Amino acid sequence: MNKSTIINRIILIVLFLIVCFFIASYLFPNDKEKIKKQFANLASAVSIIPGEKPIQIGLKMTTMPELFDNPCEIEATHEWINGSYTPQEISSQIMRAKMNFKSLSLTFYDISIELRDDFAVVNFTARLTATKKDNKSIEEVREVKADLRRKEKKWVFTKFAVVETLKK
Amino acid sequence: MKLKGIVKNFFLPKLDTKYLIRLLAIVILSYIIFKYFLIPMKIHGESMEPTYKNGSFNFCRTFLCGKFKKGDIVAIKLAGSRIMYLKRIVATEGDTVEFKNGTLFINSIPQKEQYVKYPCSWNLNARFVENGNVYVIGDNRSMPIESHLFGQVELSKIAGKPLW
Repeated sequence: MNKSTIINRIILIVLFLIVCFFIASYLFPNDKEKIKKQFANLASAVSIIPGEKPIQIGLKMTTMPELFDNPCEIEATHEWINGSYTPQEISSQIMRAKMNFKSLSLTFYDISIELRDDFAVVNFTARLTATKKDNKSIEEVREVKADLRRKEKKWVFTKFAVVETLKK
Repeated sequence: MKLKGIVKNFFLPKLDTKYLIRLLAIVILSYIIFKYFLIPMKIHGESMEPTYKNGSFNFCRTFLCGKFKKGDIVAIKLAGSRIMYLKRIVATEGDTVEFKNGTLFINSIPQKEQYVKYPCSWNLNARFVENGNVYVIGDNRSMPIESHLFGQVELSKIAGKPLW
């Protein structure tokens, strides 16, 4: 066997191992991947996808409370929003707020997860882009810290706190 | 004939091991450069207008930034560097910052800010910039003070400066 064939075989083995790793992490997600999945579920629940059918919106409404703990605490710079809420209260507030928008997209970036047994502290950047019914555009970006806890094999949000990066 | 061969090799190289290694090296090097040293950024929003237009493109230079001083434009990290704020430093640690009828006062001295082109009517009580912090504001102050994100930020949150 010449040198080139050996290198080609090594490349093939490395590629095969990478593919195996991705298949394994998809089939058997670890806690960090499960938490990231909850963030994707939250983003999907809050966002308004153009052309979304009423049945899909209804389905989101019924599954959304499963994302939050009872109670779930919210700490933001606007005092009127601060407090503890039930999962149903949060879901109905989100649905009510969504009624004011034509399109809405919530995306999470730079998600860093710190696991402590059955608890997790997650730091991330949230970006909300939306168009109101009067065609006014909104774009908000905030650093947020979220706490989650494991509840019956699922991770649920227990707290959201907006980090004040710029202090007026 | 020789030139034709060089051109052909350049545009249609042979997919051999050497080529794959070269390609891998370029991919890894590009990843390191654009992840840690020259972070590409698309500017969203109007808070730095007219200096930086909404929708324009730039790079955040994270090296050879020196000590940050008044007048510098900086990119500020949030949870990471995928989304950052772009603002101008107007005061450093130990200074007091104040607005009176749209004029910025640093240590009670009114500032001439050539880069502010739009009218401003902000009023803000004096605040002290703590140690290890700088005070940043956008160049566009035509909006109400409540809807403009500005304030003091820790130096550790500054990722770098825009390349141009």
